Amino acid sequence: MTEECLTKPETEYALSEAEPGTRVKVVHIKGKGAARRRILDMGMVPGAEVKVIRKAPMGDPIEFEVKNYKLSMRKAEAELVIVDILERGKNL
Amino acid sequence: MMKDKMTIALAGNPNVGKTTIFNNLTGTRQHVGNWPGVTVEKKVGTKTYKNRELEIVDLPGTYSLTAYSIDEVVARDYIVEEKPDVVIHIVDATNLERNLYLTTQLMEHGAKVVIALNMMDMARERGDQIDIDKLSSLLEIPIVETVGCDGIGMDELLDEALEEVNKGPHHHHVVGYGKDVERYIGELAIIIQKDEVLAKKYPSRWVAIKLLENDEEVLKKLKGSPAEKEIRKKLKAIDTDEMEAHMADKRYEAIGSILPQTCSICVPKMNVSDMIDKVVTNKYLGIPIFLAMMWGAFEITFTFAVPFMEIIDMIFGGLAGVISGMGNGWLPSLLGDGIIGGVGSVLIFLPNILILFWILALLEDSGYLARAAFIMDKLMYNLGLHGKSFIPMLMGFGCTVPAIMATRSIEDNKDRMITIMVAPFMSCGARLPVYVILAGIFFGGAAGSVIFSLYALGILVAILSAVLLRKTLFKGKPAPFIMELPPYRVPTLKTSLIHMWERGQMYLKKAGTIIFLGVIIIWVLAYFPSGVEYGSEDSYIGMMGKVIAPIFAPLGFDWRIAVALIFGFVAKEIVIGAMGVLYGAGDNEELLSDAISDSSSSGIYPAHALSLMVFTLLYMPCIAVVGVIKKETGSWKWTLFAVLYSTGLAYIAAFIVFRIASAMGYGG
Amino acid sequence: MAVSNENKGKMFFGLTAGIIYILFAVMQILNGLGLGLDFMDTLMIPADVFGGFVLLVIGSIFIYGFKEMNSGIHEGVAFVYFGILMSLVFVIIYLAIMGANALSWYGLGLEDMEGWTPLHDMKPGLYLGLLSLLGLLAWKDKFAMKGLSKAGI
Repeated sequence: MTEECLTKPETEYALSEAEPGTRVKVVHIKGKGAARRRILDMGMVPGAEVKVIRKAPMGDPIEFEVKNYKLSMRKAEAELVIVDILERGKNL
Repeated sequence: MMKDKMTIALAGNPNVGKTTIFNNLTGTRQHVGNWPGVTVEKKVGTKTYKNRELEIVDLPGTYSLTAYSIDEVVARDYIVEEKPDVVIHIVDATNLERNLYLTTQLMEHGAKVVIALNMMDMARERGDQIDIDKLSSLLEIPIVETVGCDGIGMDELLDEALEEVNKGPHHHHVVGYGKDVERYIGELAIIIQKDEVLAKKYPSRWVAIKLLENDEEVLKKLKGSPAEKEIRKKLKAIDTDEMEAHMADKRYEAIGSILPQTCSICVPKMNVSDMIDKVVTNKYLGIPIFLAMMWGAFEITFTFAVPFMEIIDMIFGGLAGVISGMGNGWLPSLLGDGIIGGVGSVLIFLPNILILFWILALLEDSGYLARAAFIMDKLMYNLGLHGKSFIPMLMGFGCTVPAIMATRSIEDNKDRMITIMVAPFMSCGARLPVYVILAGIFFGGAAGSVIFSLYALGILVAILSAVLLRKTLFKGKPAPFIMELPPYRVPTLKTSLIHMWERGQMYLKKAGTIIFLGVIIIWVLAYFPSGVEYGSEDSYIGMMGKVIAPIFAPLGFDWRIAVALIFGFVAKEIVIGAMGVLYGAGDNEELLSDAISDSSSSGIYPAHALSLMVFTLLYMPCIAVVGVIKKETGSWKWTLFAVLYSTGLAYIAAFIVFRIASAMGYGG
Repeated sequence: MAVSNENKGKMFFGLTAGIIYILFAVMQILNGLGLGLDFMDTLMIPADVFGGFVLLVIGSIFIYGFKEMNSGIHEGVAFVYFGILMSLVFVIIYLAIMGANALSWYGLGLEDMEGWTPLHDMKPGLYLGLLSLLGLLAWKDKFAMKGLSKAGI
């Protein structure tokens, strides 16, 4: 983990881009409507810590751990979640 | 003496053991129906407890009470509009943080809440130390420890509920949203209270919060209110997107401030559940494991059921034989061929359906069904469907009836409708005998390839239809996939059997009536006018065949095949039986084969046979399927659409196939 | 990474069971495609492509577990346990079908079941299950599903 990737708030980093093993902190949720509301309800609120667990065999959806439980989302939904990286995962 | 009546609603996240607690509380005194206007299941049970008559309503399992899904809307409308005396909120002790999110919302709805802290045994075993008294006093909510599957804590739960009813309101402000937002809430609440009707019906703080969250359903409730204009003006000045995130955040923050004080160690370790997931969602093995499991489910549903279906068939066949043998005349025939045959055709699927529902219950209760959706979602999404559509489609290869009933696990209505519409194209077991005989007669050594191509055609039509329907009638993207992968559990026999029986009963009651009616109608058509041979040229059905024969002529069918196809509406395998009667071969397959293989006299050449098989594959689903489509969509309009759409497609496909095959010289 | 003695046993089991299952899987699939050889009858291998696929999957799970453990990833044992579990699930399924066929034959005397004996339904998916049964007995405390709650949904 380099200093650089911790201090790059200008470029938005979406949860969908994170590799398995990565730990991130949610910054904000983009978008509107039902999907956004659901993401928030399920505990992906600003400030929440999220761990990327794995991708489904075909690469999508992705499984996360948030608020001590397992949540899965499609990449399309995970793109709405803007995050800061806390710890990069080893690309398993 | 009049007993006091009281209404208790059960709320909770999915997978927290709510249904088990419901069953524990009500026993057999329950009634399953639908919530008004929607296809969401509503379960109500009654219980007499301490001289009170309790009505217990099982709300749909939800994570939240926003307007995300129909389940959530149903649950919260019940709470704010019907105002149950008390809400029992079932909380999974092993997953407090997310579960308590719903608690904060229940309180905002102005409900009196009692928490059933379920699966406490698990939490303890895992090493969690939850200070229940502390949690209860911080939330200002009574908490009762329960272990649903062992029935522990049920009486205590009801005692607390009764006590809570007698208390005055005492917790409106569990979550504070911060100075600015609270100011908005206050201002909005004042405007809302100007409309007395609205203010009387709904808690104004709740309405204010929902408005700030930009909740469409609550905005709809405002329609026509004298306060509407002022409210809208007020809302315009506020960034509601920002609000929504802020509120969810504050709720979790409130929980976050409570939890460390009440649960010192609440962190799950790498456990059995994670180990299982590592295997079944493995990049290389996940899909093969899933397919192998499905094959196993398939084998047991359709092979294991055979003797039980035979027994039912024998009983009803024997009974029908005895009765119709009791004399000529319409009555023995109505009883034998009509009614008993009709009841038989409803019950014949029962073994399949019960086994399938039992397996689905096991898969669902264990938590694997969620993984199946996770694994298959990408593929299904590309077809415009949802991961959960895969299992019903697969089951369609066995029998379309249970396949359509299996679509109940799909939450989004559009996703579910498309799946229901395309599932009949998966070639079911009853169509196979038609292929086997026709392909066997006309294609000899190539029969296997022909049959395989028919299955492939069915899949292709299903896929294309799904894409087409998504682009036209059910516009939009598939519902977002934001799904919990619940921890694995060991399914219990009792729960899974209850699950199975509930669904099985539903099939018998609802679909059964329609199937029964359909069979009687076919009987009337085949028996009358009186005196004719059953189902022959001179019966009404024969006449109908002759009338519609010209319509089928472009496909190469004469009136006999038209009649056979009408009979096929009862069950597709009957197409062959009916052809037996019409070609004078009775129920002897060899005679039939001799009769129709002589193309010059039967008028059936390979092109005709191919066209007939394609038509049989695609045309309107059998009566039983029409029955369940009506039951599951709750709409005659969509049922009719399914019938017309599939028959129209069948016509076009059979026409094309017949023309091409004829042009290639297979048409005699 | 050093492999513990306990894991060595499981690695050996994974490798052996994996190879055996895959071997029988290949034979059953070949038989299903009409490429069977005479000796396969004595092994009671049916002509069943899908059943062969199931064996192949079970075998691959075992081998994958072996491979993981061999490269020092302890969680590989999960694959061996799961392979055992899954093969036993199929034993139960096949036994249930055998029971149903017995009912068809003895109880109902169905025509197309003429001459049926339980041996007709004997297949690798069933008898190879003995191997998994041994595994289950050897590590039975691992299958108590400790840490999983009972479902009551």
